[in-house]
Amino acid sequence: MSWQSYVDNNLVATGKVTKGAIFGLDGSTWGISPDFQFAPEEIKKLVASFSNSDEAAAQGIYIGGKKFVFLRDDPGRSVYARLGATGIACAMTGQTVIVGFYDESIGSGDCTVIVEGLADYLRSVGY
Amino acid sequence: MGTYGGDEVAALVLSVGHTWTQAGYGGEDTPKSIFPTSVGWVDLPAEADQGDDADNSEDTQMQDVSQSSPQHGADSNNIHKKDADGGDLNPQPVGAAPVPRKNKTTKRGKYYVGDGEISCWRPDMEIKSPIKDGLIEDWDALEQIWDHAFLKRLRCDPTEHPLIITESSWNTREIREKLTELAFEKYNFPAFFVAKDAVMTAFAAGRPHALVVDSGGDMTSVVPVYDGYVLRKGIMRQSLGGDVLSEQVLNQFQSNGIDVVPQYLVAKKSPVEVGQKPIVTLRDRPATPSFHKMMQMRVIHDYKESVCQVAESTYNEQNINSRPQKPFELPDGYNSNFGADRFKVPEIMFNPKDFLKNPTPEQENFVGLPKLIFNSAQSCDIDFRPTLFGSVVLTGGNTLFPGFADRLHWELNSIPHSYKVKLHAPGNTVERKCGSWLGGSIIASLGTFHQLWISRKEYDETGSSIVNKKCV
Repeated sequence: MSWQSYVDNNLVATGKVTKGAIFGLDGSTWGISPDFQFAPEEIKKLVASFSNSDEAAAQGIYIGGKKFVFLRDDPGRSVYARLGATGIACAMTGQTVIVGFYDESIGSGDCTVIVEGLADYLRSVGY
Repeated sequence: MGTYGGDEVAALVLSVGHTWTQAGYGGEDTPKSIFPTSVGWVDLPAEADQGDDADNSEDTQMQDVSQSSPQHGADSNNIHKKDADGGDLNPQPVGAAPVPRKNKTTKRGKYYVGDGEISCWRPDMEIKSPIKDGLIEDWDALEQIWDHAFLKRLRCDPTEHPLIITESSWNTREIREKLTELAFEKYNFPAFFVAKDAVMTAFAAGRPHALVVDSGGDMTSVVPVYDGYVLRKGIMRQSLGGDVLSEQVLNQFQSNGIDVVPQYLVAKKSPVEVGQKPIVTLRDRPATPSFHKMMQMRVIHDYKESVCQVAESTYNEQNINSRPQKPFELPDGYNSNFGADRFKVPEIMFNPKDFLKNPTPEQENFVGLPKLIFNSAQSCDIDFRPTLFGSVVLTGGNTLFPGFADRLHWELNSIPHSYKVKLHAPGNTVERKCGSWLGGSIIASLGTFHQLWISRKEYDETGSSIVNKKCV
């Protein structure tokens, strides 16, 4: 499977993730939903926030220029942030960072389940 | 998706804190049952002599409970046949004396839960709270509390109601998973949810964003809440709460040569003049240290609630000495008027460095409450700080000292910063003490919330780890 299809089928097609993305730990983009905007520095900062979230907590997480309020993190595993009624659930595996963005119609818990589920699977196959 | 039922069935709301447990139905404005979380137990002798405690009264026991709720369906009798690990207890014929639970460390016999039970003098009864620092430490005692709340107090059938419980904002994954297991495996609740107590308190105060200041018996915590989510980075907490203040009061009395004799030891007393030695006959009732401590603390709580007060601005010895004194009488008849001392006690919350006497090494690090609040807000998103300061919510029994809210407001305004501080301190005692329960009740009655429950089906499919994904 290509990485793009992971994004399209395993994340967005479930109906619980509005836009998805998978990045490598070096900041490269492996797969991303077409309407999901991420600047290169934003990707790097997001990946860095998994190891040290102090900056993200004070400054927020920027995606496409929009600021998401940092909620909480599980260092090295997950990061969660909100913007109004939407938000992102991000999970880190051995080689990737998976980002799931949910809009107002989806509950944050539902999106988290999908993102974490894909993360568990990728960890189990060595990614 | 896990949508559970409709609006017809009321959810159960349970909030177990260090000092108080509150249980009731969602949608109501007060918990039906409030009882102390402290649990009493009596160790049985090593030979597990079954003939000894043939007492089938109101005592809460693992097996007896199935006898006391005969009106419920066959299911509820099966709840208690399994212990928390899923293993089967020794099958006992109905009406037999209790069998000691096989515990790895101690052999505990009977448990006593509820105010009436634990305040009754029993020579070998130990008292302990299963919660420490907001985390559950003693699971056996916790199960006793759940049993007592659902089966003795609320008298409901757990299989018919969804359950929502509150947890501290720093609760661990393991504890949360264990709670999920307890709810589904032992009690067979059809749906379950765990909510952060700070978020619940913010909802009860009607705020989507708030800086929740919770000062209870065990600890004081400051938790920033944003749109229903806890900002973990900003959580600040310390073990300075009502219990530490009570200890200080006890030390105050003892250093003045006054012995705090609790009610259970007093056989007969006579009235004495102010400040005179008490004329009292004591009962010979040897008790465990933990029981004696608890009963002494009761007297001290009474003292704190009736006599202590907070100075409106920085503690000034002269100013305080000119304030009227308040009288208080101890259970043994000793009575006196209390002046500056009664202001010094809650002052510890604002200035522990100067007012906390003989601090332990851990207590050396305590900071004043205004500083704790400030630190919390500073750890949050900079754009968000004005909102937080504009919405400080006070909760917890330890904040009920007269003058506490006003003093805190004054202190927060004295720290140099450009934020406008607004304090929300419900005057109603129930609202102050049961803030998180109330929030849970509100949440449980909202239509949209039914989509967020963890249903039995989801639990069966995914296991207890689902709680860490759905109850963020």
